[in-house]
Amino acid sequence: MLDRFQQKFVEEATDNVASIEEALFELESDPENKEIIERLFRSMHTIKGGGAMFGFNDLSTFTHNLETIYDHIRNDKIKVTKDIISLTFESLDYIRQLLEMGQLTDPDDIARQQDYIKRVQAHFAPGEGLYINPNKAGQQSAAQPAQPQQEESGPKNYLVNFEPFENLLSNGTNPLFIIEDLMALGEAKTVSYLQDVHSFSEFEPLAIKIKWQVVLNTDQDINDIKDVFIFVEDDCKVEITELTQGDIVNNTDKLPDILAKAHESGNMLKKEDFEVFKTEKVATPTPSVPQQATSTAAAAPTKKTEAKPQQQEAAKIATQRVASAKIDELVNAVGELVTMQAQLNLIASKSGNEAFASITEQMEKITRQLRETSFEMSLVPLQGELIRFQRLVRDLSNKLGKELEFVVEGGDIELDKNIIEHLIDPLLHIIRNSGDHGIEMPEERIKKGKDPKGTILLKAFYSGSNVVIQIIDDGKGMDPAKIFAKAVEKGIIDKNANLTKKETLNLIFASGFSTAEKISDVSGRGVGMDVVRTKIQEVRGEVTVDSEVDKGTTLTLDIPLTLSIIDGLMTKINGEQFIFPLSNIERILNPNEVKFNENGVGNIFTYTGEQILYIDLNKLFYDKPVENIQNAKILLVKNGDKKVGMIIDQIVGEYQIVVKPLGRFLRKVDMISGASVMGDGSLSLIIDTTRLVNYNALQSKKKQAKQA
Amino acid sequence: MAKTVLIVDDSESIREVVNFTLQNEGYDVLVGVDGEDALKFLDGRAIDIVITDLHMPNLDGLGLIRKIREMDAYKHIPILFLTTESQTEKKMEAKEAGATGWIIKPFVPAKLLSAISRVVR
Repeated sequence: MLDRFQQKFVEEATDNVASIEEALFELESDPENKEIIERLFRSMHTIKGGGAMFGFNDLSTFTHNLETIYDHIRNDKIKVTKDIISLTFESLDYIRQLLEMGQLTDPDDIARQQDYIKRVQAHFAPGEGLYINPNKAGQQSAAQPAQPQQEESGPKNYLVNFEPFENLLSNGTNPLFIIEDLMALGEAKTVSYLQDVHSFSEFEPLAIKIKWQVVLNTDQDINDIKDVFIFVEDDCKVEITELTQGDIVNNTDKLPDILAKAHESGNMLKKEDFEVFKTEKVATPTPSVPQQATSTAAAAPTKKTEAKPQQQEAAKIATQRVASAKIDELVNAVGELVTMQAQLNLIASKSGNEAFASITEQMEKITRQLRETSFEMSLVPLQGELIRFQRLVRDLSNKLGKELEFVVEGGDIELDKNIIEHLIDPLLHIIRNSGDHGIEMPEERIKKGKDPKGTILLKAFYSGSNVVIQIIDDGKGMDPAKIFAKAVEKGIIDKNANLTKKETLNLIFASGFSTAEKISDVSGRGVGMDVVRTKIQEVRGEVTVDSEVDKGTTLTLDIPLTLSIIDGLMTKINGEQFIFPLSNIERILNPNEVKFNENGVGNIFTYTGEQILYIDLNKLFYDKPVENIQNAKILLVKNGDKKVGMIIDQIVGEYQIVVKPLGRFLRKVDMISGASVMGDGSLSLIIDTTRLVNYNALQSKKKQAKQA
Repeated sequence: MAKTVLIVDDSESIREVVNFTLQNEGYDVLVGVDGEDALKFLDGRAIDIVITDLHMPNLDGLGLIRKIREMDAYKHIPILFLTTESQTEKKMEAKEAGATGWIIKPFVPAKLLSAISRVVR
């Protein structure tokens, strides 16, 4: 039955390993912090406990030893050292392996495990760590050492004294259950002693003053009797005495008298009181008597056969794990739904049937809601992946002998998980480059008057419907002259090319370019920055570089939040359909609301006192100016912190757009980010406004160059 | 009347396994993810037993046990705690805080049920 929970455990343990990793980084900079140590300990504890529960015994054993280190740290027995932290990091990798491997069978693996455990155990006094065998580490039947096996078998008679301390009731124990359990072990008779019970006026309902004695005939071990008292060992006095052989419990001749007398007098029974039975020649009790003969104990109270009750409060679960494939399915289905909805809208509006149109409208609202919710569901915080980068920086720092610090700003931004998956490798590569090639050796940094410790900053923030992720290092930077020379040498550009500094720096993304002078162990094995760029472009992102010699390098990734569905404004330009992402549009203006620059210099108009550059899209796309500017519309589009006007012919309306990529041949058309099939089956191109502005600027520059 | 069990553990897998086992046995189950979270169920409703882990964020098992023992409605209900080894020290501490008994991890469902039946019937 436990199998079905194993997968859950592995997921959970993987999360726990990640949070241990995170906590370790914190601990490294704050080794005295008790709260962090507690957290580490707790996560290890959970892995250990669950491991044993779900059949990962080797994992459990290993984690137990690791946990012992942190238990000692917790209790101030040992101090956090760099060694311990490094060993823990290594151990986490090992734990991940164990989670994959499950139970170890290969002798080599087992030997490796022993080695690991020895290394861990070296950090605390011998004997404290355990090679626990979880199969045996279970409930010890009682605190007392196991009694040697009794020579004779068959049922025996016992006298069990049970004298609860006054406070027994206060921790939720019901002494009657204990009596019941005792009686359930075999055949039994019970005497109670009420002599100490106060008179009614002094009655304290919570103080227990009753004592019991149970005469028990059982073939169970004495440890099974002790076991009944396991929870109350320290809350009562228990004495178990073996009595003489013979049929005592079922004796009707003398026993009732003896018990009654004891009950009346308050003189508790002793072993000697039962000697009388010894002389009697009685056959050993019938073995056919079932052990659980007493009626009191026969009612097994926990077994309930009634129908399973519905969950009431228990159903309030705040978060839930869902397989990411299911979310993908949902997002895809919603995408299809949105397209169908558009078709439905069209048919409804054409039908002239009001009821139909109204219900279609209602449905569209729901579709939109569904779209938004499923979109939100597919977003995951970048935070979850950051630990891998941090780990990389740490490993780099050890391997390269450099002092590196990894700092994160804005780790809480959320991105489509498919996009995040795509970003991990490029980001790892960029960070590796920064650590390997960017940051100088400490001596060199000191010479330059820098902090010997180099910093790699990962900064993430929202920009419109995009997310910007920057990797900023304070290393030696890149020399444009060197890059230029190299690009010429590699035949990427002509030696007479006239490039700005920015253009020069961005040559590193050209295929066949690699700044690494020699291939090192850490980075630069075949994968160049061109692969990074390709990867990022796959998610419709953009990567650029900026650098200052001896100051550092900044890689900027501009990534869309999602790939699948956007809110779009459909427009017509020269009779063709174009879609603008609604999130980029600040305002729609009529031409009479703005004042066009009268002397006709540059494409600038004034709107609410602000000078704004505008682009005539008729001119840009079809090379003929808009026919009558007064009949046109102007979209005021956000472009970084500026605004740009875009002149179009006509606004059609607002749509939910399912974005489809353009395909291989059109991928290089920068300013079109994709296409969408509309409800009527027609095709619209989706405009990437930022790139369109850049493209326009480039075109004007070219024109100016020609004119000059 | 089905008995109501409040289980408190920060480990999702343990919660699920305990929840599954108990519901199969016909118990009503309330689930808290840590001590703090569990407190919301302790609003006076009938709860027959609490089973709690000891190591948890926010409010740990010992803290939860002490809090429960301060509440009039739950002063005397049985509380079992989950623990890994037979650490006597931890057990003592938990018992002093007011726990009724314990269940040692790892446990099989039968062991869980028998521990419960020791204190609730």
